[in-house]
Amino acid sequence: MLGRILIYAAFGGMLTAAFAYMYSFFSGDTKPIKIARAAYHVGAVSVILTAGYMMNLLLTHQFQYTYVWSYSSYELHPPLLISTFYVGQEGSFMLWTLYTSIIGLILMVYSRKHHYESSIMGVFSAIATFLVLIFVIKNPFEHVWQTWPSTVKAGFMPDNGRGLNPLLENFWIVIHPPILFLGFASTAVPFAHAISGLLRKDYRKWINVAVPWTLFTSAVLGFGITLGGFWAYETLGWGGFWGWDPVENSSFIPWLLAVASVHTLLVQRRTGGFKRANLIMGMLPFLLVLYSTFLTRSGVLGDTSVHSFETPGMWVYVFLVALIAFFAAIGFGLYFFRVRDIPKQKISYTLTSREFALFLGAASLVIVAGFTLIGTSAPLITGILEGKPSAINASYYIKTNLPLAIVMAAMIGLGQLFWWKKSNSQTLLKTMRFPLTAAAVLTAIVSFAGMHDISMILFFLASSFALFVNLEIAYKIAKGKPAFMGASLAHIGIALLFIGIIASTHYDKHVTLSLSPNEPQTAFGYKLTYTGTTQLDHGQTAYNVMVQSGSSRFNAPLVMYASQYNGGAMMRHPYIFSLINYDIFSHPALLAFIGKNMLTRDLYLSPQGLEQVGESALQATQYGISIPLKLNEPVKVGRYTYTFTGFQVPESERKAMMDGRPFHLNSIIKITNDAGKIQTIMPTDEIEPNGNTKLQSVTTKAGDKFTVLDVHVNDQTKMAAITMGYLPADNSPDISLLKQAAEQAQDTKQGLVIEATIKPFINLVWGGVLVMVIGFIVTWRRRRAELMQEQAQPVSQ
Amino acid sequence: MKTKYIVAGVVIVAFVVFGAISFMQNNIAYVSAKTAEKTNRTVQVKGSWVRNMQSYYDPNTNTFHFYMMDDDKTILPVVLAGAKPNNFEIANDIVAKGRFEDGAFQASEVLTKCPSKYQSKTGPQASTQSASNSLN
Repeated sequence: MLGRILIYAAFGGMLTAAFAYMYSFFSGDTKPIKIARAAYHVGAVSVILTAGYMMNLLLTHQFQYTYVWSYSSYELHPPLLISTFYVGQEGSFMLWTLYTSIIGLILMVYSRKHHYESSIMGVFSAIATFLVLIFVIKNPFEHVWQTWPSTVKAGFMPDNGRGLNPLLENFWIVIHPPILFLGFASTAVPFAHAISGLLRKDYRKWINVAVPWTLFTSAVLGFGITLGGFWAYETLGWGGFWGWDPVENSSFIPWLLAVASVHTLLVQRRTGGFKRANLIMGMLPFLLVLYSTFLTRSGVLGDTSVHSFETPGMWVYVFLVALIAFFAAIGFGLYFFRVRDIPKQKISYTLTSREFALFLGAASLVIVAGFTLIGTSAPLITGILEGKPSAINASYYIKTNLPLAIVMAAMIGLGQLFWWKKSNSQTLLKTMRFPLTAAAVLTAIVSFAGMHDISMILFFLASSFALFVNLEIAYKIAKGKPAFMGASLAHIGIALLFIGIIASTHYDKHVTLSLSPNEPQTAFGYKLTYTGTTQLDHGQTAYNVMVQSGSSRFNAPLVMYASQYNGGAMMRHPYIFSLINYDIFSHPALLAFIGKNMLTRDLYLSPQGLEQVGESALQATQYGISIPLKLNEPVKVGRYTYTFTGFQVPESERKAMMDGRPFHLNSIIKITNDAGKIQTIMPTDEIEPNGNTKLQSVTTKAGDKFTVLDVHVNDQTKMAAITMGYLPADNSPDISLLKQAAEQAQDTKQGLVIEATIKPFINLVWGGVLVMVIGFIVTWRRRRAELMQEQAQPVSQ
Repeated sequence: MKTKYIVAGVVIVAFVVFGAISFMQNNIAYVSAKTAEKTNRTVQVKGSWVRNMQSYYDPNTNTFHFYMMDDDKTILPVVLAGAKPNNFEIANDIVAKGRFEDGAFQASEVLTKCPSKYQSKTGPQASTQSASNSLN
């Protein structure tokens, strides 16, 4: 009940604030502002209390609440228990709302100082109102008996909750979503400022506040996305850090637009140009966050996304469409209403000006965002055009975005060398000499080393050029004004990231190994030995693979288990030898091993499954000794030599098989005795569509009984094999073979199938992003300090 | 001034055409198992795993072999390049992307659609509750 009251208070507060602020803005009356401030405070405090109330329910295990029951349990440790707050649909919206409310409190103080509070906070309160409306429509504090009225009795208190999905039970769920959602929430600030600028016909000053916030969004969202990529690489075993999945793309697109906006805003600051473009660019990240939320939460992606979100029901769909329509209509409506009024500043620039490089860079970012958006919306587009939603292949993104990435990399280098307005070609050539030579030499070396793909060579050349240009500039700035090196740091980061992407995704090598217990195999210079299993907590099993390089060796526990939570599905976790490996704390010896082998490449070991090894092993079954036979490979057991020569399937049976009806399969086996006498038998199996097999044995004149126990056809290699049961006639000397087979059966071991991958220079991906984020933060701090100064001594601009 | 707009226009048109072509090339049509057998284009087939027919992983070729049944109840042998996909056992729908070749559907990717993975249909139950959790 308390939860509902808090939600209504929050909604009432935010709605009142939105109307009071807007009334004040349009009427020019300053009196309602006081009401609006009080109302916003009521709203924000209620949101904070609502979140606190939810957190309290989770921490005190109030399983009578559906949300608490659905995502948490007694077994969860505090950090994971806290993370259940935002694991579900309602909770993640609540986290977004919480951030938005708190950002609004900060924004209120800012905008008040700068005398544009009513318009900014009017828009911002409207956004907060809509977010709170989600909880008015869908109560997050529903009791279990309200959710499942037909199966759960009123007042029922479950013993325990369902718990957290084991896939999410790790450190990353604690850190990745809170950072990502902070990035999402922060996009509302530039949006509110752009709208406020349009409302006030102030097309210049709004950007002063928007710049630091856009930098903040770029840093936070960029960092959050990377954490997600690292999570996928490190724990989920997807093999890579990026899969172009809609859920990944949906945070990538707003980030691209925020970064593009950083660049176009810079042009406006320096030259006064791009006023119209910047208003649109200020709105887009927020609108795209809304659109992405719609794509990934409403269920429109259907079964085309790997991330299966729960099917949320119609209300989310309708609500999110209304939300996008509302804010897009306000934004674009106002823009088109004002567009004639926006002064056009002609900026005269040449092809070798920094403005042009910034424009090209930003344009590339926007086009990448556009291509990615279209690809992500493919299920929606094809659903409308073809009637059946289908996802696009990941190759689409690479094909469309690669040329743009090359342009971007080139501009990251050139843009820093160009001057504003026009560059002196003499100086330009002089400054280009070092980075261009260095990049060309490096590219020549790597193409000798095996990079032959022309698009990769171009991408590498442009990226390394960008790297050397920015390294040189960063070095110069660091000696003078380190506070100004943010841009070159961010660009160094991007250049490193690009090189890391080329190396780790285009030049990775992988091999699938079937490891028999204690029989070493060599891959990529490492000796890999499957040494056995270790039982872990929660019914999970580690399959230990000893990895040896030179004299040093280390055990890699590859984890596989059937997850009860996910309906018994098999979960597989890789083990990665990389510079980022926490096991060095428990195993200091690992440090030397990693330092020696993993500086330039990761070894990624991913478990695939278990299989019976020792195919030649005879086994004792109720049908006698089981003998595996490969096509046309004679096998001698006891008195006879057996050759499996193929199957015989009549046409009628073939049709039955394709129609899914029971069908008969005859296996042809040639039996040769010591005297060279040949006899051919054809045991028949009747295979029903439900997989049950009726075996029909063949008894020879000598009294030996043969049965085909299993049929095995490799569709790719066309290799057929069968397992034949052989029951010798009574008192046959072969009976001793049965004993032998029984003994061998006990020795039968399970082999481990793993995929070993070498990821060259993947550390450049992580390192690059880190440097880039630091660059954003350095610039953000500088712009914020400038803003503070401007506010301290209001200068008329 | 005019040349600037012409250049910009040409660039935009070029990007739109390039994007549209890439989109069509990489957008893989949904077809029935029967159509998949006839065409040599890369397509995707939606259906369900035939649990009771043989399925196995071949470590020599790193392929997972199984049979799927599409919505028209046609059974299609599938060879997936890779191991058994995550959530394969619990998926009620699967989507295989690939091409029919050498008597089987050679899939490059198999997507699994899981039944309300994170949601319960019946809610908490008194007796089974503790039992199901002890398994976790």
